[in-house]
Amino acid sequence: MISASAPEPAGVRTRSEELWHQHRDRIFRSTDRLFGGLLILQWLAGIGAALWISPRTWIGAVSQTHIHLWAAIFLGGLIALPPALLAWWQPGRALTRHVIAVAQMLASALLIHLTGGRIETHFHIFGSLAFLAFYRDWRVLLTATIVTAGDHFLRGVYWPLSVFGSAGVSHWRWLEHAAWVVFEDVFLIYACLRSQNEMSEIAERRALLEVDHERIEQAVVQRTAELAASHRRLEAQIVERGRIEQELLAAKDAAEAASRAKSAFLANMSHEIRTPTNGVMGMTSLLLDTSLDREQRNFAETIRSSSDSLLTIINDILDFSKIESGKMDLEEHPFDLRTCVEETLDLLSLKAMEKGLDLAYLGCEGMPTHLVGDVTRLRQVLMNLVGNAVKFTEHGSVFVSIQTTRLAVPPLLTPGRGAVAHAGAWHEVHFQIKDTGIGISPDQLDRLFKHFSQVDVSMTRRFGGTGLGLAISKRLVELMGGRVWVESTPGVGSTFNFIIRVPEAMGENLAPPTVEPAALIGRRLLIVDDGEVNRRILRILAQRWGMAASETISGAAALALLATHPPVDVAILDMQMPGMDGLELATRIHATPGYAGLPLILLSSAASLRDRADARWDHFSAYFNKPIKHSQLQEALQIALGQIHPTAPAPTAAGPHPRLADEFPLRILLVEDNVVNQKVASRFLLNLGYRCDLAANGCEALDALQRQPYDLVLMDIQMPEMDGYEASAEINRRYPAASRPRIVALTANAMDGDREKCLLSGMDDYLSKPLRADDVEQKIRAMLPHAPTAP
Amino acid sequence: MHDGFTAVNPSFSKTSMIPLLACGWLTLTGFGGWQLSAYSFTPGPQGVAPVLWPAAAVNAREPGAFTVVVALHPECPCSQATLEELDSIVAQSGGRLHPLVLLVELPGLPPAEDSALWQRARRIADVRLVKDRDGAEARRFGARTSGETRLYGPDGRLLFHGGITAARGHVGDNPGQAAIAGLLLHPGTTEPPRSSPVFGCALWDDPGVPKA
Repeated sequence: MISASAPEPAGVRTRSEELWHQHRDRIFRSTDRLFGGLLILQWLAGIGAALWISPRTWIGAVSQTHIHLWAAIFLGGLIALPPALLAWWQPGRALTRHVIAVAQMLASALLIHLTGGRIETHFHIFGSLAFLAFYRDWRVLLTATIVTAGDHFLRGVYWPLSVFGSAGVSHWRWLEHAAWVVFEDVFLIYACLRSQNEMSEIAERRALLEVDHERIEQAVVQRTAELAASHRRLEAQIVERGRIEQELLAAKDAAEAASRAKSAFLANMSHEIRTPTNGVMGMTSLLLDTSLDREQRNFAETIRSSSDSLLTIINDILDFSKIESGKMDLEEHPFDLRTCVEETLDLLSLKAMEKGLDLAYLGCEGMPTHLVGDVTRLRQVLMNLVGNAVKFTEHGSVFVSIQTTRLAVPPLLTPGRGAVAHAGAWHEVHFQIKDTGIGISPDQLDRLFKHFSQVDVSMTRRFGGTGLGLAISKRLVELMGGRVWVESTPGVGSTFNFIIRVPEAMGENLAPPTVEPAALIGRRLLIVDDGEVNRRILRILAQRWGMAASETISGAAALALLATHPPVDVAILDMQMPGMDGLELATRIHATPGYAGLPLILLSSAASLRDRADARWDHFSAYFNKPIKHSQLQEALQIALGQIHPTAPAPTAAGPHPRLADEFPLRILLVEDNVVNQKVASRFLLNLGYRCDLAANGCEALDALQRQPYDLVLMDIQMPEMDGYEASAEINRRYPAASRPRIVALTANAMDGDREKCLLSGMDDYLSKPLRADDVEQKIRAMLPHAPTAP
Repeated sequence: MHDGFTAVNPSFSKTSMIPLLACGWLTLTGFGGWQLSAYSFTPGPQGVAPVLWPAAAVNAREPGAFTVVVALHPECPCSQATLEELDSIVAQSGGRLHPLVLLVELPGLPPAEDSALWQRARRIADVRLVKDRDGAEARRFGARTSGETRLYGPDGRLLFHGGITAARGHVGDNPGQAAIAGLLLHPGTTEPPRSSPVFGCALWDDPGVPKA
C-alpha cells in the first residue's frame, strides 16, 4: 500500500507504486524459490525417513517394500513437485504461492499422519505458516489456514487418531487446532501489513531520491552544458588572448626597437652636441685666461654661462631619459654628508653673494658623518633645490638644515638601487631648504614636480630652465627610498623638503666623527653679523662646542658691548655689514684698549677676493667664505685661541695651484680626431704644465706608442680608421699591464653603460665631454698612484 | 496494485485449466492420503488364542500373577508402537503384570537379538525376552500377526487377546490397552476374554490369509 502523508508530485507517486510492486515481486519470487527448495527437501527427507524407519514390510521371512516408502515417494512427490515446478517456472505468480501454501500444509498433514498424530509434529504447521509470512501476503496465510483446518476436520471425523494421536477425542477438536492457527495468523497478518507499509515507505523514499537524483542529474547536465559553453568561450578567449599576446609581443618588439633607436639617437645626439660644446666651453675657458678688456670678458663669460646652461639642459635630458626608461641605477659608495652639502653650497655661494643672500646650513647634533649612497645624485638633488632657492630669492637667505633619524628597521630597497646588504645602521636624512623668495601659490604646487612643468611659462622666460630639474630630483629621491615635498607661502618664501634613507658607512678608512675639543669649553665668543641666519648658526655651533656666545648685529653694537661687558676671548666678524664693515670693525677693535690682541675671524662671501694690499686683512687670524664650514671654523677657533698650531696653510681661499707638471711630470699622448677638441684638451694640459703629443686616430696612437713610451693616453672614442675601443684593446694586447700607459677615455657619449664599455675594452678611466679643466686635473691626480715613475 | 489471483494471465485456456489442474492435483493428493490412512487402520489376521495357558508352552506362567504374552516379528516397523504400549501397561500395573515377549526367529532373518525391537524390549520392567525359534512358542499361543497379545490371569485363564495399538505404528490410547488396564483393576471377572484388532506384519505366511 502506498501511504501519502504529504502532497507529492504525480511522478513520485507513480514511481513509488512502481517501486513498491517491483519490491513485492522480488519478495514473491525469492520466497517462491525458497519454498520450492524446501518442498523438494521435505520430499527427499520423507523418502529418507521411510527408508530408515520402515523400508519394508514382512510376511514371515519374506519382505516387500513398505507402503510408507511408496507413499513417501509418490504421495510426497505429488505434494512437492507441482509447486516446486511452479516456483521454478512461474515465480511471483499468485497461483504459485497459493499452490505452495496448499502443498506445504499437505506436507504438514502427511507428517502428522505418519507420526500417528504426534503433537510435536503439529509445530511443522506453525513453522510453515511463519515461513509463508515471508511472502508478506496475508491471503497466502488464509489459504494455508483453510487447508489445515479442512485437513484437521476431515481426519478428525474419519481418523482422529491420525491427527490428534487419540481415537477418543471430541469432534470439535479440529476447531481448537484451527483456532491456534488463526491465533498465529493474527500476528503474522499484522506483520505482513506492517511490512507492506514499510515497503511502501521505502518505495516512496526511493522514488523521492530518484526524482531528486534525476533533478540533480538534469542540473549536472545543464551545468555541464554551461561549462562546455564556458569552456568554448574560454578557449575562444585564449585564442584571442594569444593573438593579442602576439600583437603585444610585436608591439613590445617594436617598442624595444624604438627604445633602442631612441637610446642610440640620444647617444648620438649627446655625442654630437657635446663635441662642439666641448669646443665652445674649452675655448671660452682658455679665452678667459687671456687678457681681455672689460667688454670682451663680459662677452666671453656670457658664452661660458650659456654653454654651462646648455650642458645642464643636455644632462637633464639624459637623466630624464634614463629615469623614464628605468635605467637609472644609483651607486653605493661611502661619502661624507657634511662635505657633500658644503661642496654644493660652495658652488652656489658665488651666485648667492652676487644677490646678497645669506646661504648657510646647519646639521643636527649627532648627525652621522659617513653614509653610503650615490653622492653625485644627492649633490645633484641638493644643487637643483638649493639652486632653485637661490634663483627665486631676491632678498634674505637660503638656509639648509639637516635632521637625521636612526631607523629601527631597514627600509625595503627601491628598484634601481643597488641591492647591497649593509652592516651599518640605516638613517632617514631629512633635508630642508628654506628660502625667503617669491613663494609658490597652492594651486601651482601640485604640478611643481611634474615633467616639463614650471610654475608658469613666464618663469621659464624669466628664470630659464627646462622644468625637468624638480621632476628628476623627485625621482632620484624616490630611488633613494624617500620623498620630496614643498611648503610655500607666496611672497614669504618656500621650504623644499626631501627625505632619503641611507645606511651609515662602516670601515676603518673613514675619518672619525668630529670630537668637540675640551679647550673651547667655557671660552667667550663675540659674534658680529647683521644676518640673523648666520648669527643663529654661529650661536648654535658655539653652544655645541661649550662656548659662551654674545652676539650683536652691527659694528657699533659690538664696540659698545666690548666696552661695557666682560672681555671676550675671540670674535667672529661678518664682512658685509651696514654702517661698518668687518675690516673697519677689526681695526677699531684692535684699537680699543685691552683688545689689541683679540683673535678675530672674518666671514665673507668673497674672502677669495682679498686685496692683499689692504693691511686691514692682517687683523684676522683666519677668514672664510660663506657658507660656514663647521669643521674649518672649529679648527680656526682652536688656532686663534692657541690650542693648536697650524700644520697647513690657513684655510683661506688659496691662490692658484703650482703647476701639476712640476710636481708630477708625465708623458701624455692625446688621441683625438677633432681639431677643436685637440686644441682644447692640449691647452688644458698646457695650463697644467704638460705638453702632449697628438694622434688623430687609433692607428696613429699605436704608431706613436711604438716610437716612444707614454705614461698617459687620453683616448677619444669615435674616430676614423680605428676607434678608441679597438685602439685600447690593442694597447692592452701589445703591452704588459705593468708597463703599458694608463688610458683615460675622452668621449661625448654620456649614456648609461658608456663608462662600463670603456672599462671593458681595457681603459682605466673615463672623462665625459665637454671637458672641464678641473676634471682633467682631477683625473690626472687620481691616476698618479698608478702611474709609472717619470724619468 | 495487482494482488491475489488477479495477477494470473487472464487468457481463457489457462484460466479454465488452472481450476481443473488444481482440482486434479488435490484429488490425487486426497486419494493418496486416503489410501495411506486406510492401510494404517486395516488390522492383521488373528489366530485362535488358547483359553488356558498352554501346557506345551516352553515358558512357564508366573504363578499367581497376571502374565501378558506378546509375539513379535523382529523386523516389523509397526511393532515399535506395540512395545511402547506394553511398556506403558506394565509400568502402570504396579508389578502385577509380568510380560513375556516372544521374538520369532525364522530362517533367513537376522538374529533376533540384533533387531531394534529386541533392544527396545529389554528396557521393559520384569520382561522375559525369548528368542522363539521358528515361532514354535508363538504358535502355541495361536499368534499370527506381530504385536498379537495374550493376557492370562493368575489362575492361567485367558483374559484378553488382540493388539494393543490403535493403528499401524500408532502410539496412544487404544482399546487393547484399555481392556488390559481394566482387567488388572478387576481381576476376578468372569467375563469371556476381551479382544481388539491387531496391527502389524504377518508372523508367517499362511495360505488364504490376506497379506499385510
